[in-house]
Amino acid sequence: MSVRIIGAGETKYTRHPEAAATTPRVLAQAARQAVREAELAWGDIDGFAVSSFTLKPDHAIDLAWRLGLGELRWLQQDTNGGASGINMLQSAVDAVEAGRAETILLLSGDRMDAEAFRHLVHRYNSATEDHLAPLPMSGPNALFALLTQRQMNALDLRKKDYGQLVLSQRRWAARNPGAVYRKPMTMEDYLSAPVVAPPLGRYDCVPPVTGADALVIQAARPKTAGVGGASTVVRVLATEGSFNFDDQDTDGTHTGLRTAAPRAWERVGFGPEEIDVFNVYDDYPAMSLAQLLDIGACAAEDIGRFLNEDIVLDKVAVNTSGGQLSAGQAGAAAGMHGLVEAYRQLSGQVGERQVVGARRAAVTGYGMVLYRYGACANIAVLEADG
Amino acid sequence: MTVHFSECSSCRSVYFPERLVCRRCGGDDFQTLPVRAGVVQGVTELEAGVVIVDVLAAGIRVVASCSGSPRTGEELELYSGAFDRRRTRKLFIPHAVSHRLEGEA
Repeated sequence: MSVRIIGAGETKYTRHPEAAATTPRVLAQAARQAVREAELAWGDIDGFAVSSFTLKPDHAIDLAWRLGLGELRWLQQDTNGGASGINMLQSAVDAVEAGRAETILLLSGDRMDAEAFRHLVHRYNSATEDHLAPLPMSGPNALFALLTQRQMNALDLRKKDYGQLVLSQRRWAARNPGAVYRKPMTMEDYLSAPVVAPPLGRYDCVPPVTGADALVIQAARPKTAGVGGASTVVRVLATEGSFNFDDQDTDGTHTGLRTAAPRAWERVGFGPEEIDVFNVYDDYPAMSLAQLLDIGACAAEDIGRFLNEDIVLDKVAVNTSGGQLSAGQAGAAAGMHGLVEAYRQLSGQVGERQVVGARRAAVTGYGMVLYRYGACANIAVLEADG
Repeated sequence: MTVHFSECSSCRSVYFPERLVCRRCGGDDFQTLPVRAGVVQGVTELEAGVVIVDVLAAGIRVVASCSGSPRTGEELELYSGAFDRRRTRKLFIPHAVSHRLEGEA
């Protein structure tokens, strides 16, 4: 049985949210958009999963109740940040294939104002509270500055090479009305930006935003008559994940995708050369690069040419929404943002930024810094239906 | 001045932060391992005068802060307790509250 994505939703991302833009409200907005796009009625949803850093004290069931969802046969909550979107997609695909639910709504998002962001990064986990916050260190910028240095040494890269990824995403963002930063950026702008933690500057770090993303997934052949008339569908070909692959004891310039991606390519029967759109989890340009390398979208020995030709000339489509760096990081929704963009690319809904003839997309998730870098990574391979 | 890492009583694997079960041998009995110094692997600056340091100590990679300008490859003394700007060129590694031993600051 194949499982399809039949609708997606994404609220407007905002840097400075109005008071009414609470976490439950932005989640509800994205959910309604996705269900409407799937041409379904609210009552057709029989499975639901959510990921949000700021839903407390509520849980998935509280939100389901407040959202007015009917009786559900399947209910999940995911806490894995940048890996939560693909994690939920994987669980939902398994649930549909096992007959545990027919039509599942996946939802993620946060009101990520300055106070929520400060609280999130300061109390991220016990290792942060006990061993990082007292350094003093607020947020993961310094950790990824150190990781970027290690990657620069390992691959012989300069700051300007990372700038090519950032500038490329800004060019995509200029064609995405939903991105928070759309003004064209020059290499001079990038290199002269205020320093955050050397070698990272302002444009290497994601802008936190408030917003939410949603997906509706369904079995390829719905059993209930009248359910799911959506005309735009995308098939989920494979998902694979890897968690705590190196026990935080390497230089962190590789991710669990090194083991997960080959499994995904084996499942689908083709490789990264067949992919038209790559949406990788771009919390930092160094991590985008690590993921592109780990999934085989580029090779270490060819990295200079990849960045200074393929990326500069837009020969390879990477993070076509502008990614988190230009579109914004909406808390846990960052883990679903790349999936929503891939769905829209493959169903031809993105106007000016449409990748012509896009048939297949690879989306990756990454995150959950345990102590030195992220420990969770996953990949989804999607294909346009028909 | 020392910082206490955690060492598996069975296979001697070293951890920081502490773990509940040893990844290598599955043992759950750990003892404290006093560590006096670490070698600077990388440095970045988050706010003026305070640098965050990638450190190799007792064979594992840990995160420290330092007042002053340590250089990659230097071996520096470690301390815990509370960060102190006056202790220049020494590496601060915070212990967990539960880690604090008697008599420690």
